[in-house]
Amino acid sequence: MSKQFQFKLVLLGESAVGKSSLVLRFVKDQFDDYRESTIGAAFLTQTVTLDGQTTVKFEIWDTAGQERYKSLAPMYYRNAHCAVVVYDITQASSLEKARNWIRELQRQADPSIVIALCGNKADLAARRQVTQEEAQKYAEEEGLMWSETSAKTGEGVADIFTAIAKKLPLTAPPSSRTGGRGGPSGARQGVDLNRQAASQNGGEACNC
Amino acid sequence: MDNVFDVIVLGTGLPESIAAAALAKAGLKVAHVDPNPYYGADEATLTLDELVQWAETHSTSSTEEPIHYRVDYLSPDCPSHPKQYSISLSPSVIPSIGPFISSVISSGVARYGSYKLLGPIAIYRNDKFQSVPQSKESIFQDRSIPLVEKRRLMRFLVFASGEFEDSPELQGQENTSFDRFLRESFSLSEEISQVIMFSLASCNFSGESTLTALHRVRSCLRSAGRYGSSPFLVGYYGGSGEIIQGFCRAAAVNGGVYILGRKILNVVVNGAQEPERFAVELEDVPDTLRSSCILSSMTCIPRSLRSQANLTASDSNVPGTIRCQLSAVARCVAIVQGTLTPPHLHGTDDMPLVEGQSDSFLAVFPPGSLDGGSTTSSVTLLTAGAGTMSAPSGTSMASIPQIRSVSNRHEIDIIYLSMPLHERGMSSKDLLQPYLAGILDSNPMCQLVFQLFYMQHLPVVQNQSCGDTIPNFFVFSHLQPDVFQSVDQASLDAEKAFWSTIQGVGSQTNCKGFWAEGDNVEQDL
Repeated sequence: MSKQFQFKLVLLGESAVGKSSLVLRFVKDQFDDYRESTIGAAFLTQTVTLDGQTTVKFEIWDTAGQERYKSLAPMYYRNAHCAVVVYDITQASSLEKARNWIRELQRQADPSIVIALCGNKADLAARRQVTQEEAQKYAEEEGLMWSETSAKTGEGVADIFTAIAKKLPLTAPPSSRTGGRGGPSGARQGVDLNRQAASQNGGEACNC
Repeated sequence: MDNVFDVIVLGTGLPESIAAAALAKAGLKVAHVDPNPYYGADEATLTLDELVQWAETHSTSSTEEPIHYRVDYLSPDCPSHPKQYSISLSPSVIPSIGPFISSVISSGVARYGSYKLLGPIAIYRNDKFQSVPQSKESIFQDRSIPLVEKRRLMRFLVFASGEFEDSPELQGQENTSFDRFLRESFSLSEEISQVIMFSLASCNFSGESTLTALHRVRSCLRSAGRYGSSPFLVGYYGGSGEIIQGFCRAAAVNGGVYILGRKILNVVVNGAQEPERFAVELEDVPDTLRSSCILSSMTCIPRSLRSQANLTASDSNVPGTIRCQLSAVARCVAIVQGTLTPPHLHGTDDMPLVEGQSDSFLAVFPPGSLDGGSTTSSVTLLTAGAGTMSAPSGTSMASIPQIRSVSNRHEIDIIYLSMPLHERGMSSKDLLQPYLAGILDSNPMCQLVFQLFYMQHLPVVQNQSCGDTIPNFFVFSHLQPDVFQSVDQASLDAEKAFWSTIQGVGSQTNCKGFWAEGDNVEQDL
């Protein structure tokens, strides 16, 4: 019997570390050197097939630039099952920022959230400022997943999402804080606002 | 230039946030700023620890601000799991049909939140809560209303849900007090008249005029049935404060720049010949923001500029929205361990359960209904709990055994009380304590664990100053706090501001926002 899980994944990290590029590579297998800051998508989805039987659908939320002045809303973290915290291996300061975001996640998000630390721009290893050892050591201390990626070449991108998918169904119980949509445990009862009004113009609310 | 915008929006209250989302959607370059470190301004939703912090900073009233608060009492202790509470500074319900719900849907913001039907609506009379029928159907089933009275009531409801504007019943009665109209034109009893006035028509005071009250009854009747039996919805995680975050995200997704928690140091108005007429300086933001247009809450602009702003408010003759100006609202937030009994279990009339059993219910205390309470103002009670993710669920709490045995829903309830006032100077605790005590008396299993009483002072009516206003400098009139109507009012104000801004910027873009026709579905990349 095939099983499908759906999870909310949030991206975090300093501006210009390649958060959106990473998602664009994962979702569309595209890359654009001159991409501007994220515009136009509420969230993107991509499905990972694990073993032919199990599929994991990610609902991926980008920051929409709201991280720039530390203005992310609590709603952003709400009901997130997993987070990818991105830094730029050519900018030592971006790992510092990543640490702050991880602290923020530990403060704001569900305690069972799966966090992956991701060193992007691996294709620019010649200008590396963050060693693999340093990042890996930090990730181990905090119990985070870790790997390096290049959104430009695609290296490691699918791998990190697959690794998260493998970790998720086992570690994320049907969360008690799951809201009305998107949870792996099915939707909580609620009202679907997009349901068409039965009596928008008639004013007759009952048929008695 | 990164710091040049079409419009700078100051304040993240509900009207500002809806307008920002629409303006960004229409293609304008928007910067949205709030000096508070949280979204929502006067309509914010806070966690309990944030609320306590908020209350501590408002323990002395700053009369400088147009809307200001005075905390009259704050519990010394904060219950455990404070971050699992979502508490609204401006608790409200959402009419199922109306400008607000339309904005939420057409902007795509609906996808960010979750909603439930409001549970029972009750009215306090003769020392007990009585359920209020919310639709014609439920009146039929209500055995507590005598048959003759039922027939008269049905006649009134058919009248009120139809096109009553040109009806003979209304001729010459538009400004009669609604109470008198119900009793004289429809021969309704005092009891039924009160139920209609203070629940379906959501009057704050006795003596409101017939025409405006009728409009509110009609929108209430028409809303019932869209999503279920209740005409109202409640939002998860504290309601409007959460939906504000959705509107702001929608604006950000369309390129809006968000800056929170930075003090507004100065708003400079340059000469008319400058391409960017306005400059906003923020603490800790090196670049001055520049724009050709400003849209602001009254609170966010310097005092010296307030008289030169163009007040933007939806037409005050939009039916049903006219209200007498309030001076203040006395408010109480209380948290109880244990579950408040929904009012339908109190009365003798056993109303059928509302579908999708909600943990939120609403009750109105008409003026003079409670011993020791107000004889002039009505008081509204709204509850919220774990069912709308507003409080921690009981299972995660160390709870009292006997409470667990009687409750099969959840074990923490938030109680909101609000009392609109025409005069200032009284203590919110003195005014609302009798109501809280009355509610707890009828729910002896509930244990009070937290209470906050505060007064929200509203600015005196600002008349549009005749003469020297600065073009493209738009300021929202303050939002009248109202459990039933403020979200619709916010949406109407936002729409008005949207069109003013579009006109002011003289935008060449394809300006649709989300009120005009067009595809409103945000495309995925």
